Amino acid sequence: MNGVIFRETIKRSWRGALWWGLGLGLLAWVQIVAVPSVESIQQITEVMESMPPVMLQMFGASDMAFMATVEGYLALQIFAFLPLILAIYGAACGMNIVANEEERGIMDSLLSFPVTRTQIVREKALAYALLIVAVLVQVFIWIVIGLVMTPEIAAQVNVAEMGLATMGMIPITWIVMGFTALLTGLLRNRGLATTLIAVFVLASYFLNTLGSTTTGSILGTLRPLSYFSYFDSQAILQGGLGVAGMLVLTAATVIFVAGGMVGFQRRDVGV
Amino acid sequence: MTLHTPLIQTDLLTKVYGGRKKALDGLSLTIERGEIFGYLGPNGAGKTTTIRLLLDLIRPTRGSARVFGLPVITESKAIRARVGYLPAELNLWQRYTAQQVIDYAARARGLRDLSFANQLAARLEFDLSKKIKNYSTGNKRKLGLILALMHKPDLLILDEPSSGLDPLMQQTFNQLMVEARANGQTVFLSSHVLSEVQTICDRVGILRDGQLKAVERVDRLTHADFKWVTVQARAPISAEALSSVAGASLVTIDGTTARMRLSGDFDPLLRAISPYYVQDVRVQEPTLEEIFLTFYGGDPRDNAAVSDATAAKAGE
Repeated sequence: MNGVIFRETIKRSWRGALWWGLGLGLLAWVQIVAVPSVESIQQITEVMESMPPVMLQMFGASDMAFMATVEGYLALQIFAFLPLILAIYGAACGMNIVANEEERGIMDSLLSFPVTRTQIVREKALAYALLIVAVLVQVFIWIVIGLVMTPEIAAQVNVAEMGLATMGMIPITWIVMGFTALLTGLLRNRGLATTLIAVFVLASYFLNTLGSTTTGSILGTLRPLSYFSYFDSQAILQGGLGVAGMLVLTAATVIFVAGGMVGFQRRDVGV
Repeated sequence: MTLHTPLIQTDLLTKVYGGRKKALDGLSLTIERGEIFGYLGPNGAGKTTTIRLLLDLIRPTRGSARVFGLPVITESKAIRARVGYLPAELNLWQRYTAQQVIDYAARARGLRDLSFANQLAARLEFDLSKKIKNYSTGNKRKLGLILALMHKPDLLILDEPSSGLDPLMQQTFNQLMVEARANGQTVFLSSHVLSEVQTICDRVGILRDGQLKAVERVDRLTHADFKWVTVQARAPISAEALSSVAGASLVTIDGTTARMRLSGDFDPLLRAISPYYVQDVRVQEPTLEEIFLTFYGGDPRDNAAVSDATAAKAGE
């Protein structure tokens, strides 16, 4: 690896990562500075308790006692929805690995350089994996800024665990990027790839949600197939970083990217 | 690679798209070191397909290709390091300036000295400071030429290089190609216009419907020179009047219009039609295919496509 594509990708995409980090960071920051009183959180929790379990799962709320705490409230407000938004960024990164340049006809020019197709996929995937980390580091910085601005909230929150929960979202964003790289490496049809990525994310989300409320059913059995099942922000905030889950997702990402390399290596480059 | 190894060698190279459309059909071609080879054919003949196969951008359905003696599929990186490529349609990163694109290409090629790229930009009167999205088609061609030439590659593969260049730049391009040959570089360029390439090419190959019809030295082709002449008179022209015109063949007369293939001088024809009040004389250069067919002893009238094209041109 001579790294020229890696460096060029970083150079071309860091501004986009900055904007994503800013947008998602502000979203998290707003949730912290706008935390209602503890009494209000408890009232919200009481209302939520009347909801069906499936809906609670969709909101990322399973442990109602924990939800009644400030930390639980933030887990719900920040970490339940960010993974879905980050899936969009992960897919966009994955599209930038092969599909976008191929569709714009730039791949012919890039492949006129002395680089291999596998090198293009490898170096770009590494660059975007790093940019995803950068986005989430920014999100955490905004969370810290929010906590510094609200000492009364900060007193009830473990910052280190918030950091771990934020970093826990790295592998679940990586896997969307990796899956996108796999599909766009295998398929020249960008539209079909986009559809399949959307199906992958939404199917994973609903499989996780429904599977966790119907333990013992087929959905419960299939739940480990959902990448969302490997990220449990509540568990992380309660002191349990799911290292195994993160490793599974990271390994799956590597396998997906490798599959994308093989697929792109074997097929015709479109114009 | 030895000195005798062909720079490009294809063996029954075939590309079929979608299981049906044969874009290239059994191409066996050899390009020698230090020559300028014109790869000619109408649009859709398979020129770009050939080039993309040589650069491993697409994979052959059957057959094989070697560049510098190396198989194009497994040694594509090593091959590209020594090739300068200009695609038929140059697409680049729209937000980059030309200078940024050149810098990127230089880094990818491990090229530190950009003085030759700057010389090329000066000769092509090309401003490197603009963003790609702001360049005209002609200027993008110039940038493409700089990118292809800047690292002084052993082999230049240029797909329709002169399309979009004005006549003055066409001359500069021709000069650059001649200089490249003088420096020992080999040029493989595609075109659909013979006149564009006949001044610089050593050999030309003609491709049609994915099949290589002929390969010949350009200087030998000039002996097959002829023109199509159409005479429009006020009164009907008699066949007898044109039967003895030296160099005239394939004569057809339709009332007041006579059409023929004329080799050699015009004087015999002008004398033969002098009794008539001539309203119009149209002279049309033969198409490349007609020249080839004549050269190889074929009859242009046997070729429906050629006849159609000729009729269409005569009607213009």
